Amino acid sequence: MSFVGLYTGLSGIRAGQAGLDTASNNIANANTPGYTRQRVEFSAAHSFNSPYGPVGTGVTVEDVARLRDGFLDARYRSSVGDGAAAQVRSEFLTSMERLSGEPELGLSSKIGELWAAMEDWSNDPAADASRRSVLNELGTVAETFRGTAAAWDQLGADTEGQLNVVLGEVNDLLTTLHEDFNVQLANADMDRVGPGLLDQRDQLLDRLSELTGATVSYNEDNTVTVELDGQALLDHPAGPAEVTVAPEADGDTPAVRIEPPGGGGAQTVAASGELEGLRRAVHEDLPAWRDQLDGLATTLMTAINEQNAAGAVANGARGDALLEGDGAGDIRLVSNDIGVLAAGALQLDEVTGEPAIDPDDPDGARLTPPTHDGTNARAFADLRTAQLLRPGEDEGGATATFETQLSEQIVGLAGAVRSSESTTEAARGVATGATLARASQHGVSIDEEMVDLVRFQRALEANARVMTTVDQTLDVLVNRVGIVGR
Amino acid sequence: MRVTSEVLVTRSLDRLNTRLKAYERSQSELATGKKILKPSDDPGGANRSMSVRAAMRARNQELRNINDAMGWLNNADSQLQSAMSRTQRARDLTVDGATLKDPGAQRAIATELRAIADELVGIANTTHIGRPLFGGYSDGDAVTPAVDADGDPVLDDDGRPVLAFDPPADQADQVLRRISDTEQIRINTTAAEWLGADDDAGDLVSFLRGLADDIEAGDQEAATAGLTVLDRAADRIGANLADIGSATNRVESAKARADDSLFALRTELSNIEDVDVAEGIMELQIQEVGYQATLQALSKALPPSLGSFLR
Repeated sequence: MSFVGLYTGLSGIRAGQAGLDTASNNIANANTPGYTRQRVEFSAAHSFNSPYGPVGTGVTVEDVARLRDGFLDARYRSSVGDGAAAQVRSEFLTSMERLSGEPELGLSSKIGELWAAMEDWSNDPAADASRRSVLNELGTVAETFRGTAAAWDQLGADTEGQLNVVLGEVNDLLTTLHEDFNVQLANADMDRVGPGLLDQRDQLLDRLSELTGATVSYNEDNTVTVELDGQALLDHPAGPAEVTVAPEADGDTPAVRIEPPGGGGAQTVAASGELEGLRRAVHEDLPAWRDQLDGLATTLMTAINEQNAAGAVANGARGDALLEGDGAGDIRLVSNDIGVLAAGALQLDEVTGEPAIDPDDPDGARLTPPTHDGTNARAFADLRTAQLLRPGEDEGGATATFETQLSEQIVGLAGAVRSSESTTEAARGVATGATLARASQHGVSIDEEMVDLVRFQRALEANARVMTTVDQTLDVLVNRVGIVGR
Repeated sequence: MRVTSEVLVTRSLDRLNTRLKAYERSQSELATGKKILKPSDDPGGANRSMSVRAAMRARNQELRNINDAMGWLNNADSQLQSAMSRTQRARDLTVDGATLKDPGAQRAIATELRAIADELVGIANTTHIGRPLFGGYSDGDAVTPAVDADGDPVLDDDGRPVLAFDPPADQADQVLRRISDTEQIRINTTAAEWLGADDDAGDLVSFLRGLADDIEAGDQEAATAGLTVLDRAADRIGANLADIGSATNRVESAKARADDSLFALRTELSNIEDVDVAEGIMELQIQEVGYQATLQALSKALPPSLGSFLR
């Protein structure tokens, strides 16, 4: 009989305390974002050779392990970027569609009103009211173009601001990961580095993947290497690269570019994540749809102005341009005077090709169209079904009615929204799966911890009993032995 | 798979969100009565609904054009009918003028012929909603005494005032109305056309005035010769009436077509856009029950843990 038993009990009590502490810490952090559950790892203490054979000397607390699965992290990080990119882009396109006001408040209904006003005008070409209503509707259509263009431009500007915020966040994250983690952790004794710091680093890396789609590898020297499309974003000891969104050459679409830490020329990379979603929305989607809108505005402007020039105003002259401006952003009425609408047929001089001069008029005034001549007004109304040259086409190129061109744009945008939504849905499914798998592995299960609490409490109690038992035995040996005959 | 509290929360929120989204969608569909609230809800349907709407707008406009055209045509028809009966009366009078030798009767015939001529001028200058009915594109009277550059009346060889037509005989102004995407029909005739401004014997009004003078002067041969001119005039008015009548027929059948097509388009639009209310209510009920069930399940599943049962 020796005192070993006391120490065996002590080691058990210490192990039980470590177990209780870890379980309490797990429970306390059950809802802490990014927390990785911990587990105390025990091993049996070495034994000594008693005369009867080896006898164990209790338990050793080996380690408080952080139950992190690098494979699940990698799976999460590779899926979260695509999901975020699709989500951001889909939100942008949905906003664009909402701002276009279709189908109730957008161009499609305003254009319909315009054709109706023109037809009424052709039925009663001399009436001021019908002329006024044509100009009003034309003004409304121009205003709707301008309104949609302005709303889209504003959305683009806002989103570009968001893109810059994200860029700033990405570069800040890289700097933080370099200065506060890679530099500090390089070759440090990991036993002295708390698991909390690693959780914090993993959270920053998660965020970086969500923003850019970057992948992470963990190095032997405790540092991390972050790569995007094969280009290093962060390496030790080189340091963080700088991420920019800029065109590769003048006139190119801005792309995500990585400037390596030592300089040496930026590389264009295929990113994903919020950064890519925003970049694609601002620099690819918006300009494309905006060009289409400009094209529509120009088509309408050309058709209306040409038609007005083909007719005669009250004094016999050619009609002036009704709309002016450069694209959808600033299309507007030239004049708000109802006299500028050319309702009548133009009478041309056969020789000069200019509006003919009245041979009977002493002052050499032009031949004027009769008051109720609505020939050109009718041609205006017929623009509804006229085949107009598509934007960017040369004379003789592809044509379609204005309504077809407009509905192609509306339906095209709707289709883009639709497909971006289903991409988001699919990417979200994958990302949710990865998130759940990780949460299931890294998260705290209250029930498990409860069981642990009970388990360690009991272990503690049992070990205390061990000590009491040894103590009582010793008591018998020390105090009760050898008192025979006292 | 370990079910940790994070898993429970993440998954519950995800399901709740999905349920709520579906519930909200059926609610707004039912509240607005529309399946397509924005084009991306159904791009193909939105495309069809836009073209159907455009077609409906066009048909509605055609119906307006047709109503307007009917007004013109009916007015022109009744005016030409009375011009026709006046012309026939003039012919009857001329037959009398060619036979009666009593100067009193001849004078009475002449007076009535002049009255008929004036009446025809009146008919030719009728207006329809502020516009001259037989004046083509012009404003003002279709038939006026001609004046020269100095404003003096122009007289013919017999010293009678010459009439000016606006528009002139060689310019048949076409007042058109669109009655379908491809059809435009003429709804007018000009005074020069139905009064025969380019007739060898002169226009009907001037001719009647001349005839009245001849009959008053007892020139029965001129009266007899005038009968063929009057027959020609009646034929001309008849032809114009027939034009107006056939235009009326086309407009009426176009109206029937536009009405039919509008009805079909409305049905089609409703099929594309509108929610079947019974189905919508069922759907909403299902979503509501689903949402409530999810909530129930959550409230049952989330709170208890082993902690509640251990002492």
